[in-house]
Amino acid sequence: EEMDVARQLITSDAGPACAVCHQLAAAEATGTLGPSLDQLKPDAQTVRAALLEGPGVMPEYGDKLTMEQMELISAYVAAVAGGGQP
Amino acid sequence: MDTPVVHRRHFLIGAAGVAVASTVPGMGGLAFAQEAIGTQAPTTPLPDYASWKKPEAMIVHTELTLETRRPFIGTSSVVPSNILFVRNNLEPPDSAIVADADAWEVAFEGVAQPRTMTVRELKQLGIATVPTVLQCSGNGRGLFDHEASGSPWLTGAAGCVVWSGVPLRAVVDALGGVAEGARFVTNTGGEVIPEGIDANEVLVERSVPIENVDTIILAWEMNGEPVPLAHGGPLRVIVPGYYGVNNVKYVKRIAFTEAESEADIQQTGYRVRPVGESGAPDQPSMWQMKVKSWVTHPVVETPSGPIQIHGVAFGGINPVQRVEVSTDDGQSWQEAQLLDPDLGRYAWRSFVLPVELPSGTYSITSRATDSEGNVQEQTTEPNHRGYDYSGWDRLAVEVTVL
Repeated sequence: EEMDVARQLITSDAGPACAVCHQLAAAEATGTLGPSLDQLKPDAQTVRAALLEGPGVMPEYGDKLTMEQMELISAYVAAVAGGGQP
Repeated sequence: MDTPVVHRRHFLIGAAGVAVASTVPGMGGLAFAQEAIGTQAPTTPLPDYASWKKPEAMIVHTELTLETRRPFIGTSSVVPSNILFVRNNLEPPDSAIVADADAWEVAFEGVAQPRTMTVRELKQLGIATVPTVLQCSGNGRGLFDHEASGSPWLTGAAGCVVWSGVPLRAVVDALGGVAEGARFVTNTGGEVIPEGIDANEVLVERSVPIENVDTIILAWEMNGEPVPLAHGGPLRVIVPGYYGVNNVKYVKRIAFTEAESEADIQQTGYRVRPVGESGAPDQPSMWQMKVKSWVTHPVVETPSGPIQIHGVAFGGINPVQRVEVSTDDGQSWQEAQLLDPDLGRYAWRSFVLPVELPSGTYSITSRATDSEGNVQEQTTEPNHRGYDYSGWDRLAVEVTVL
């Protein structure tokens, strides 16, 4: 169920949704504006840091998502990036 | 001296092959992974838009961030385009825009006679050629201890490049001069932003102080060729002496404005602040670059006997005055020779120091001074986003003389 929540945040709810800019095949995310998460294969810590800091032009999500939501996204991306199964 | 630290992220760079160099006590935190500065083939393929780069010279952090491996930087001042780093904030536009480069349009606003001009028209207004150091704000991020988000660049998000294009001053004069009250030049990139996102959140739009109007050029040529898509063609704003992000690619709008851009990349991004603090408009913006140098040869090992230690040095907006080299972790320094040609205040200068070193392990580093007497710092205090590590302590290399 946590995976479903994470997937929902990534594909539509995060505002802007991760999927607008990033590719993540497991979530059927096909954005190309930013780096492909499937290629980057970040660990959870890297995803969390990116959400909090918004490197480059990536928005900061600290005021858009709760810490719990960011943890869910981080764990999910780390688990599935590069073609891993949720 | 700092305790040597090998970061987890350093193990990840260029993962294949050589093990991380052992740390040597007293060698000032320079023991980052030697494979990252070595010559191993990359493990990640080059992205299509940069497929013409020399793969063995590049570290592929992501498809938008490609770093030049340290020893590939030579001594002839200009970095060849096929090994120059790439840092794109967003996916580049369609390559069709460089196929018909002269047709590219730029809107000029905040001038007496605002209008849109094509590159073809701009080419009629004037030409200047300016060598500049292009350096990503995050160059050296991988040398900080705190794990700032973003690519862990070492030294290779920088290169000296020759640009040709029209001086912005000539364009402004042709358009009747700058509107009253303007304090900034605000430049907008031509990346395509998808639906479902507030444009200001990701728009690449940067403002620089209007004083730069006399040094900015709008470049259509880089190192003797039309500016490639990967580097911002058909037209790129070049702000000499300023960090890379200000050199807006695919520029589609140039506006003289009273205030800085409203885009996040200007308001809260690229702001220097203590670790843990959020970005805010009252913090220093990543504008003018600092004095900096580093050794590019030798970087891993070298035979004993005569050794030519060489590297590159630049002063941001000021010319480099001198470079010193240390082979003992900064305990003693020797004056290096600056190599010709001198390509001007915004270029980098190669330097060389001939030495003879017996077999052993050495911490080799360099320290530059600019024309204003600014000396390259020994260490760079952490900043939240890990911008521009310039300290000679961690820019040092640990070299084994065989």
